[in-house]
Formats: sequence, structure tokens, C-alpha cells
Amino acid sequence: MEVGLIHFIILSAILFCIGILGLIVSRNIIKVLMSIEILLNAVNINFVAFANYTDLGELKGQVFAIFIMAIAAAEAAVGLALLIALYRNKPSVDVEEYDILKG
Amino acid sequence: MDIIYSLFFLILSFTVVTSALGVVFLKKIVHSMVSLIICFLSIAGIYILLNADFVAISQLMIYGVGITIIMIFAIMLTSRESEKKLWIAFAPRTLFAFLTSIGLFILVAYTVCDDFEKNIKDIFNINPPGIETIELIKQSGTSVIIGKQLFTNYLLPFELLSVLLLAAILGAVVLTKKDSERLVNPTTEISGKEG
Repeated sequence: MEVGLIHFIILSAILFCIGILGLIVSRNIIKVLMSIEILLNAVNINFVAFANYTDLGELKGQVFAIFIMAIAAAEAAVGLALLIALYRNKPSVDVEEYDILKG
Repeated sequence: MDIIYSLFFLILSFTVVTSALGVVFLKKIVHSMVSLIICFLSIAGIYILLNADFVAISQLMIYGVGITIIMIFAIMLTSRESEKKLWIAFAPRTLFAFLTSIGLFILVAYTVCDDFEKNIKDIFNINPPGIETIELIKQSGTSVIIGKQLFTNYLLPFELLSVLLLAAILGAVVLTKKDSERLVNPTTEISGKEG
């Protein structure tokens, strides 16, 4: 078996599908944030694989992967700060209990 | 050589997929956190397989340490004993999520497996890398090329990213600060009424 670009794309597609599954299915807010991190990692694998197989001279994909990592760090910090601020108002991490907007 | 590469790819991708499934389907939140750490580390291994040493080290430092520590602190600060075992929801959206993810995967796999390599070569107009590039990557890794790209072509996004990180730090501090009297939070009264 020779590993090529297709195998990495399939791997990142599997990872992206697991991330979407966890994003919708899970009931814990922290688990939702973990699923978002899995989604961003799947996108990063795709960028780096394309950079390796099609653009070895300039490596734009790896530069984009580094940008995505920085934005993911900012997103995790702000998201968990929001989570702690929410928890101070209503001490629960269950997704189903936050239904104030339902009306 | 090729067999070793394929073997490493199979082991690493199996670990990635298994631990990502573990993040979603393990019952305790701490167990899924440990599974997430294993997932990040093996993704760093996959970057090394793809000749991306700088990205792999960044993955270890940012994801494997930074985001992990933030999330462990969030788990420590928020979870109560009764809610440590919140599992997946049994609602109509669960079925919807399974169907969506399986359908997306079938779509991607069908697109990829159909003459993909040839189409890629048509779309991207690939020039094979020169000998100097390969020698440079062999000698000093990819960080030379990435550094040049960051400070020439991508200088404006790089600087904007620093502003974004500063805003994220300030936002995290402001959001987690205790409410003073001037900062009235509109949801405080509602939750006070309920419990």
C-alpha cells in the first residue's frame, strides 16, 4: 500500500465527521468545545497534506495551519471564559438547561 | 522505507480516529479529555509524516499543552459531581447528527476516489519542486520557508493576528471578572428568580 494524498484526505474527512457528530450529540458544554478543536485539527491536516503534495516550494498550507492554530487558541480562551461567566449565573454544564432563548 | 511509512501512517491514523471517537463517546468528561490529548499528540505525528516539522512542534506546544491546560482548568472550575457523567443526548437531533456525518463522509469519499489525482494535477497546475528546495528542506527543515512567507507575503495577516490575540486575552479577562455594579448582566435576574 502506498500512502498518498487521498489517504490523508480520507483521514481528515473521518475526523471532521466525528467532530460534527460530537458537536451536535454531546450534552456537556466542555465536550462541545472539544469537538470544535477536533474540527479545527481536521482542517489543519487537510491544509498540511495539500501543502506537502502540491506546494512544497512555498508551503502556503503550513502557514495557514499556523494561523488556524493561533485563532484556535484565541477561540478556546474566549469560549472557556464565556463558559465560566455562564456558569456563574446558572451553575450547570448541561446543554439542555440553557433554553432561555426558547421563549 | 515505504512499508515503514505506511505502517506509521496506519498506526497513527488508527490512534487519531479511535481517540476522537473516545472524546465523543466516553462517559466521564476527564476520560474524554485524556482521549483528546492522545488525539492531539498523534496528529502531531501525522504532521511529521507530512514533512511539516514546524507545524508539528507548534501543535505540541499550542494544542498539546496550552489548550489542554485551559480545558482542564475549565473542567475543574465547572463540573459538579452529578454532572460528571453527562453523556450523549437521546433526542431527534442525535439521529440527525449521525445521518449528517455519515452522509458527509460518503460525499467526500465518493469525490476523492473518482480520478482525484489527475483532477488535482489539472486544477493546481503543479510544478515539481526544484532541487534547491528539496535540499533546503532536507538540511534545515521547513521553518526557513515558513519564516520567509510569514514576513513577506503574509505580513499583514500576521500583524492582524497579534491584535486578535491581544483582544482575546483582554476579552477573556473581562468576561471572567466578577460583575461590578456598573456592569449589569441581563441574565442575572432571571437565574436569581429561578433558583
